[in-house]
Amino acid sequence: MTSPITIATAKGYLLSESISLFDKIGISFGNDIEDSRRLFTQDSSGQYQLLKIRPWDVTEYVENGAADLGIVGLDVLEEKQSNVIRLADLGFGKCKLVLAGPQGDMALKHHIKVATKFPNLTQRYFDEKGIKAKLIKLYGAIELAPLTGLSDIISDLTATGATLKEHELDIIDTILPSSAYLIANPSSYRTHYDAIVKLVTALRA
Amino acid sequence: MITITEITPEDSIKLQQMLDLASDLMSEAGYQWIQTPTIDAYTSLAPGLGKHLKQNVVRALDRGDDSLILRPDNTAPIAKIVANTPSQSPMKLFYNASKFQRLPKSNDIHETLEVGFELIGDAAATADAEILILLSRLLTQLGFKDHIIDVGHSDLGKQEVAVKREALLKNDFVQYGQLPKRGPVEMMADTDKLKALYQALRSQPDASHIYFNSGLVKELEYYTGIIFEVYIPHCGYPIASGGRYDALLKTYGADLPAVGAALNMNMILSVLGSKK
Repeated sequence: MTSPITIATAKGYLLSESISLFDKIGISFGNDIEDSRRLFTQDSSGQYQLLKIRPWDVTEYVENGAADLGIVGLDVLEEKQSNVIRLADLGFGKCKLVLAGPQGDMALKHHIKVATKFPNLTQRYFDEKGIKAKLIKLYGAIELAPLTGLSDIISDLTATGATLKEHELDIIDTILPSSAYLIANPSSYRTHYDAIVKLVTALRA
Repeated sequence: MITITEITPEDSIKLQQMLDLASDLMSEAGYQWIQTPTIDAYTSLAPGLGKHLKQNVVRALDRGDDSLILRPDNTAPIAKIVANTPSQSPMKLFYNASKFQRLPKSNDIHETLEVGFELIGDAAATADAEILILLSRLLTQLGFKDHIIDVGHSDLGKQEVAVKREALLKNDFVQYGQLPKRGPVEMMADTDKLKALYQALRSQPDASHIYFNSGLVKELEYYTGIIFEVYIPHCGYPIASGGRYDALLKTYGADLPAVGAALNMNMILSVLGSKK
């Protein structure tokens, strides 16, 4: 095989966890990509290439075949409903998408205003409950929305709940538990089949 | 939004060369050219359209109480014509035509140019093998020497419990619990539904591109036997697909088995374009 297998990885916490996981199974990317401005690096064997990109972009790279594999949270996969193969739950990056509201005011009423980065998953949740919700799509600092009156409640990711507490928000319900998933482009899965199966087997061991 | 297939003069030349190659190979193999209507009455095509296709048809015009649709798929109109034409069995047909569908996610209208071929009136595994081998030879002639044809069977998905079938439809091997069995054509020998196909393929020198994949599941209801998808390196999407659809012609009034394949020429042109 001539061309390396390209792995698109969500930068930040998932990237450092991924690099140490690959290290454990003998694929060494070194540490220079984490801190540097470089957006890609190769492993010492030259068989794998790692891309450092935004979590929301990982699925685009993998769906289009620009990357063969990807590592991204289940939350992003479920929100975007991308046409990729889900190969393995890597177990790290555990968090959950929750509904949270100001302490003491927890009822989910009709026409409730919900600020979120995850409009599709949040809409699905309210559709299943039969509650009409008004979603406000934000790109960050979701916790500010109820404090400033932009929304009644929020739907956001939390790992420890610390940030929610700091903004006097309590969890109302869990929409989706999430963790880091290894995904593959359906074509790459066939064209690099043996290498990918070997990798998944090693990662699951 | 409407995504129109606008082919550049340079691509048109490539396309014509590919069509010529395909046409020569098909004629040699005994397949005859067939032309179907671009616009048809919804009610006359509807019996053979699955739920998925019905949801995504492009309505062209309304003519009183009957709406006209753009050809949503190439197999259904061929099935309708063959079912209503007294003809010798088996029939071997090939086509080169656009299909028009709405994309479920975006609701965009999308035109896809397909080259395909159908073998109608032969239920034997040797007919499945003929289509697969012809497909492989055509792809090789078009320059895709390292193509991969994954073959599964519609019953394998149907045998799974609902939650596992759902997992396979979503390509969610985490929920499925394992990687589905996949490997060289010899693996078909262990699957009852594909034993006969393996017997028909084993003596063929061109079968080296064909793989068994137990995890191949499709939403299209009309598949009643083998299903397959074709992949090549450096292209993220399948470039061809097909399968057996023995119940389709019955919906148009003739109980004839059939199997066929279609190549997505837009995808193939874009692969050729990015190769330079």
